[in-house]
Amino acid sequence: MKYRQGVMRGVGGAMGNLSAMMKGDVKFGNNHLRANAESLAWLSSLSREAFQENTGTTGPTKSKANIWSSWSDFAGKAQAFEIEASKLAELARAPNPNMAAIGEQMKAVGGTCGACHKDFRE
Amino acid sequence: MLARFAILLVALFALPAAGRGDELVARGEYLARAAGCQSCHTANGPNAVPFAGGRKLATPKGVFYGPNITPDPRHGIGQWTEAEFLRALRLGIRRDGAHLYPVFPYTSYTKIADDDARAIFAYLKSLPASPTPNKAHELPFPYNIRMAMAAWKWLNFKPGAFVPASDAVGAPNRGAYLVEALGHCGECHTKRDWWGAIVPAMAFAGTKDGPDGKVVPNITPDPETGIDGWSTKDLVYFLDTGLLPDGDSTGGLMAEVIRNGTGKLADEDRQAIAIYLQSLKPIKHKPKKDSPRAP
Ligand code: HEC
Ligand code: HEC
Ligand code: HEC
Repeated sequence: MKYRQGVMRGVGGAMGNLSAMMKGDVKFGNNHLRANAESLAWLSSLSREAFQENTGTTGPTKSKANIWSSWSDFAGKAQAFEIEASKLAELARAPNPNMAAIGEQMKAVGGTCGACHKDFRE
Repeated sequence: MLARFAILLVALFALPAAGRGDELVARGEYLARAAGCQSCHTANGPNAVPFAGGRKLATPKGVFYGPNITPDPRHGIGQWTEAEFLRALRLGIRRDGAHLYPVFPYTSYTKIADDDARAIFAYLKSLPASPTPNKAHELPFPYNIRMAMAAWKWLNFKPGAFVPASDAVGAPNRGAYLVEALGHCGECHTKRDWWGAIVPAMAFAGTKDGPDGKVVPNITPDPETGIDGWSTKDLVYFLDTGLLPDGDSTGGLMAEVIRNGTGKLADEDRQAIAIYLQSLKPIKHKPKKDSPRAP
């Protein structure tokens, strides 16, 4: 349970850093943009497996039990996240990243987080 | 994209309100987004026809279904006149004179300016008509009696146009109008009394009994329980993307408000909403479910 929450916290951390860059709260080089986008993409590829086994819904958790009863739906949402996150990483990898496109892609990624949380998180 | 929108907007607002057809429709589309009409009037699912109704709305008073408001003459609003439409937004009265239930947030929409309501009507009339029949609401006694709404309104409803605060110019007024009239943010973000009417003293301070039984957070600038820690930029970015300052993403109904509504507005309007929220009186209130799951 701690592990899956750890993965999500990592996802949140990378997403928060990227948001701060998009808002202009911080100014770092493209290496930071790239590293955060890459780590988001890496973590997204773990999200399905991290939840695969029901490691508990009785502790301090916000996971809903329907994750495991509607597993294929959950897995599909995890895959959508993976696809959008890898597109984001690809945009960030460009020598001269297109910030407008990255901003739009952040919304697409954010949409996949929201879609999964809506159905599967308290 | 944003820049294009901003230019479009400037162009739209520079026009006289009763502009030519296409411009009126485009303005109506923008305003309908700001007002979130689509969410309640479109069924869930990828194949749903926008505005053709069927969306299930679970409330403490019963289950409602948003009706078809495409221009279909039988199932939609094809036969409605502009005056009847304005009356519905302003007074919550249906074409046949019956009272509408306040799930349709006319309690906020009563503040929409007439010219804006006309533009929304022109936009709805421009949509393709969909012959989708309406679903009957599932309401227990006494809420199933429409006439009961007359009493409800008499007690709880004050029709009236938006009154700009005299000491605020520019952005705060635009923000107030977007939040109070069009965006009807307070309809979800405010506690309701036994009657199901919002409690004005607790405006925007959140509720534990929001739509679909969800907790809706406090969005007044209270340091402990509200959004005091958010910068204007944080709010603008949130209303655009649904991403919270800590990197988490918003879910549920707010995600929909952003996807269909605030995320499609011009940046200036998001800015105006943010500034208005930050100008609200802070209220200390942390909505929480009575019995959280056993730890
Ligand atoms: C496939 C489903 C799914 C996707 C996609 C998803 N999440 Fe989650 N997330 C969950 C679930 C389920 C939980 C609750 C975990 C628990 O408490 O057991 C959660 C929890 C979280 C948490 C709280 C972690 C903690 O315990 O402190 C954060 C932060 C978070 N998600 C951020 C994100 C962000 C940001 C994205 C997108 C970039 C995202 N999530 C995408 C399912 C998902
Ligand atoms: C929170 C959900 C919600 C939102 C937002 C909403 N509506 Fe509705 N609307 C409803 C429901 C539910 C009804 C049916 C009420 C009833 O049966 O008394 C309704 C009824 C109506 C009717 C009367 C239709 C009829 O056939 O009786 C019209 C017209 C209408 N809405 C237009 C709009 C417009 C225009 C907007 C945006 C400015 C809007 N609605 C936003 C839920 C909503
Ligand atoms: C249909 C109901 C609904 C409407 C209308 C609505 N909200 Fe929300 N809002 C919510 C819910 C539910 C949440 C919590 C979402 C979650 O749990 O992730 C929320 C969250 C928020 C948050 C994040 C607060 C926090 O502390 O996390 C802000 C800011 C916000 N809304 C502003 C607005 C504004 C501005 C409007 C009007 C333009 C608005 N909302 C209209 C339901 C609504």
